[in-house]
Amino acid sequence: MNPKITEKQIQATIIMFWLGSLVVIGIDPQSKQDSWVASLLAGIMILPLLFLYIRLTSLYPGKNLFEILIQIFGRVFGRILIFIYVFFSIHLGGIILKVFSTFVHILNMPETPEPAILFFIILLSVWTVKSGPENIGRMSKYTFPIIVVSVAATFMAGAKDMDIGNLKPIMNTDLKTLLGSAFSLCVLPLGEAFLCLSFFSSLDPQAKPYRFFFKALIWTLAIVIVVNLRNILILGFPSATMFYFPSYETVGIISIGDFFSRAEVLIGINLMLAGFIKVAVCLYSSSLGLAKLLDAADQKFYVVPCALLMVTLAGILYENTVEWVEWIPVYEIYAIPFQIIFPIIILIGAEIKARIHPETKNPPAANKEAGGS
Amino acid sequence: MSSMIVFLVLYTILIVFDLIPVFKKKDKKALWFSVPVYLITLTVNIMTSFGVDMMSPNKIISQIISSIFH
Repeated sequence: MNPKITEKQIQATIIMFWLGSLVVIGIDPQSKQDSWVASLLAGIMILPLLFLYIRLTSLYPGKNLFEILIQIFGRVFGRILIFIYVFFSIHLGGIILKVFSTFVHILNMPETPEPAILFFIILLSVWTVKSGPENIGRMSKYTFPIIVVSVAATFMAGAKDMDIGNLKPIMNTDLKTLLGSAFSLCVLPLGEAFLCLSFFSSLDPQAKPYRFFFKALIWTLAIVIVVNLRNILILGFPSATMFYFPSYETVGIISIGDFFSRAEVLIGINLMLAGFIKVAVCLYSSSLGLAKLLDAADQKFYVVPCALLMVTLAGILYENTVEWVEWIPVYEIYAIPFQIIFPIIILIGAEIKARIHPETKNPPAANKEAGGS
Repeated sequence: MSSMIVFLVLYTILIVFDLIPVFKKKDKKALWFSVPVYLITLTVNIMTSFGVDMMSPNKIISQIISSIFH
């Protein structure tokens, strides 16, 4: 019997996947000191998409995203959509790899060439993905508490440096700007969780999607709001928006006496852990999709080619950090079809299919080997 | 130059531990996909390590989006 991903593991994987981008994104300069309110609004805005994922998985239990696509749209249109999502996974993986190699290169190892940093991240990701999706789930489950503890510890340790006045004036941002910031947060990264549906063929049948999706959302929002508040309370606005990695700068200020200082290494660890899980999820999703696209029996043979495409993309995506920051607003538009439009089309297709052919609803999970589980 | 060495080491490791097992398993479909990907990505990576300017996909996407919305 294949090992299954438990509910706790998939919950941790989704949280780490979301945090993989959220820990990098700084405070939105538009919503200023109210960015924590924008995070809360983003949590509400993402709910319809979460209901969409839950409905889709309830219509096709035991199937992953790519099996669902073939089941709904047939071999031709299904494969076109699979190709689109494989491309998106590889591109997203390349972006994340580039962000994390830039982070390490700028802040920790300016003399080390970026390909050397990519080298270690991608080799570890390949190894993890080749070990099976349940391995990604297990790693997420054990690394997630590290993030929680480090965020809580840095918040408490930074209490003496906090100025409550930095939060004022509260709710001074107009609703339109707040909604714009919340939408940005929805697209980058909350909506990217659609790729996590790739894991659903390896999911324990006892796992309840509504339960782990909502728990993951609550945990993620709690962490993001605490991080946002910590950064604003310590750095204040506009200082917090001046840095590419504000958490790193914030925690760099924190010290307790002479014995606890330079705690920013914790932020580096958080970034690497969450980023590594996110790259692994993208790699798993792309290799699984590619195996389905080529009708291959074993997904593991496609992990390294996908990883090589990600590394190559990461090398040519941006020339400098300014280009990366300028790309974020473009990404918010670019990601809409992958995260909102196509999932809605897929759900409509699934609903129509379920009504026309009720016997195809809840079909038994088949072809598990091709599913890579 | 240092980047090129890094890429050569990476590809050597991947060829030994990934591509050769695929050859041994005689999975033709995987080979037909993997070998060109190895060759193309290695060529692009070596070219970028020598400072050759490659067109970023992000720039292409940005141009497409700006042409749609402007």
